[in-house]
Amino acid sequence: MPMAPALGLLSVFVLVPVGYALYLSFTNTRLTGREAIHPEWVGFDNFRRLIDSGHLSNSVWLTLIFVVGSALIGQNLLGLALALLMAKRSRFVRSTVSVVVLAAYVFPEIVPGFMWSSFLSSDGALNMLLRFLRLPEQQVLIDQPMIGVILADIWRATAFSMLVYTAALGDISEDLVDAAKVDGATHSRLLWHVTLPLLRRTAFTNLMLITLPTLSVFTMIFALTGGGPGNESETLPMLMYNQAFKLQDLAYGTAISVVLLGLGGILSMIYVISLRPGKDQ
Amino acid sequence: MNVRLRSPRAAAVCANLALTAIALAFLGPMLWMFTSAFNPTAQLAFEIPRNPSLANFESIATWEQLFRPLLNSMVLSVTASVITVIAACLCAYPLSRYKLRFGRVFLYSILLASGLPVIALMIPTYRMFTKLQLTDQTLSTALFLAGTSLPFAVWLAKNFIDGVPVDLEEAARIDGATTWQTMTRVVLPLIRPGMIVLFIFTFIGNWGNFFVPFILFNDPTKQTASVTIYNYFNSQGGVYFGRVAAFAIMYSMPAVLLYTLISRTLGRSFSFAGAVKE
Repeated sequence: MPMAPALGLLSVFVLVPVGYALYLSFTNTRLTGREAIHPEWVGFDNFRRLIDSGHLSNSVWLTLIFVVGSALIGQNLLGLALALLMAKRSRFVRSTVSVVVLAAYVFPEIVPGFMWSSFLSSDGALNMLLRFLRLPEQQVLIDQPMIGVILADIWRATAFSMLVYTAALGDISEDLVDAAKVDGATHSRLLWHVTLPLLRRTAFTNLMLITLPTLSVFTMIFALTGGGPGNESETLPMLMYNQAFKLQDLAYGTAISVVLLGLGGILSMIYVISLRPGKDQ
Repeated sequence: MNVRLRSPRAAAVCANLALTAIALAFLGPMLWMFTSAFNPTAQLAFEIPRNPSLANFESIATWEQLFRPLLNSMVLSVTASVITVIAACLCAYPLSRYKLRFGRVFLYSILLASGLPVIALMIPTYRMFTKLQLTDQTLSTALFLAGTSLPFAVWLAKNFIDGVPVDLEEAARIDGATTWQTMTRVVLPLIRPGMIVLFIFTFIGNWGNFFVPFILFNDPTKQTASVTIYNYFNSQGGVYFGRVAAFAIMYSMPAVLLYTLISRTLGRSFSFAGAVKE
């Protein structure tokens, strides 16, 4: 009985939309007009079109670059580096760096979009710095949009990995480190043979936890490039939005949602199986 | 190289230099917001204000521009978060305490659902809402936000409740308390810190949410701060970047303050050990 409200909400707002998404993706529903009111069943047309038009391959490729670049490499390695670098620093250094990195994480998601629009604009802080260093100026969002959105997303989300790795480093037993030191391990060997292997499981958990949210990043890309120029930064969520709401092809956009749900579902499944919840109940 | 790194002092200097560089790189993109907010003639370009003033804050401080969107965000986020916390705790208690027949299956499903991209549910939900004429309504949108944040919230709530020793409840029952009394007098006070963290966590998520209100609200009088500020950036931004920056500061403040609040609470570990005498 006490579970009823949660079960109700989950069915109405998670299960039903998933089912409805599947249904819509097999119709020709549009945002407005006749097909908005009387949609017809069109079978696999939307999915066929998704493949034939090259939309799917372009967006899946860009999404992959985005997830690998931002989450797997950027957030993960920078977060780990931050945690390792901060481990033995003074309280002052630790708290100052954490505050700056965490600030980027805490701003409501649209605000970093403005910050980076300005930062990467032709007269933004980045180009001012490049001019000062007598380096060539860059129009990142026009020439290399993917690099722009990836950098911005790394900037926004690294704090999470930093917190995860900092917590894990705190759990490494002092005895182990001392034992290695007594055995004459140098700094680099201690890191390579003791610390990093102990972080392996944390790294896996962290990767799973950051991959899923990175897969569905919308706001940052929307604010910076809108998927452009052309479709050079049109990851799956951007493609979904542009097709469904800008081009008003709701059913086609829903087919992209179904692809996203599938990808999220697979990743999530891997995560659930590897975590084995209830193992330690 | 090896010789240098072996000396702990050199290593410390290197680490501090690297950290300074990273911190500056993180600071860089933020600067624009702070310089522009106090610069009445701010542009998208970065510029140190020549005549810093509060003019931007004064000109946005109206009901339509600032206070109504902030109030809308507040009402939506609080409603959604309250529903989330109550539903999550009610759901997590039996999951934590009793061996339910479908308990494990349910937990697996919840965990699986917490990984689904909510963004992919937006088109079907938009279509459902337009058909049932639920768009532009705070309550239905709040319920959607609650429903989609429940998988994670239930999971978190179950962990909090698992941390409350069963001994305390048994002691209460032996003293003659009913289930309801045990729940309200013993369990609730003990999981309150967890509930507060869960509330603030969901609140910050809802407060910053852009896509959901962007799709489900059309009426500008109902619109939340996230979307209002975006529209403002797009339509008037070209002229009044300073005002956008000032708005961004006002809008970010609650999230930043609340985060500071829970980061302290999170620091204190949730140990209930003190309540049980060994």
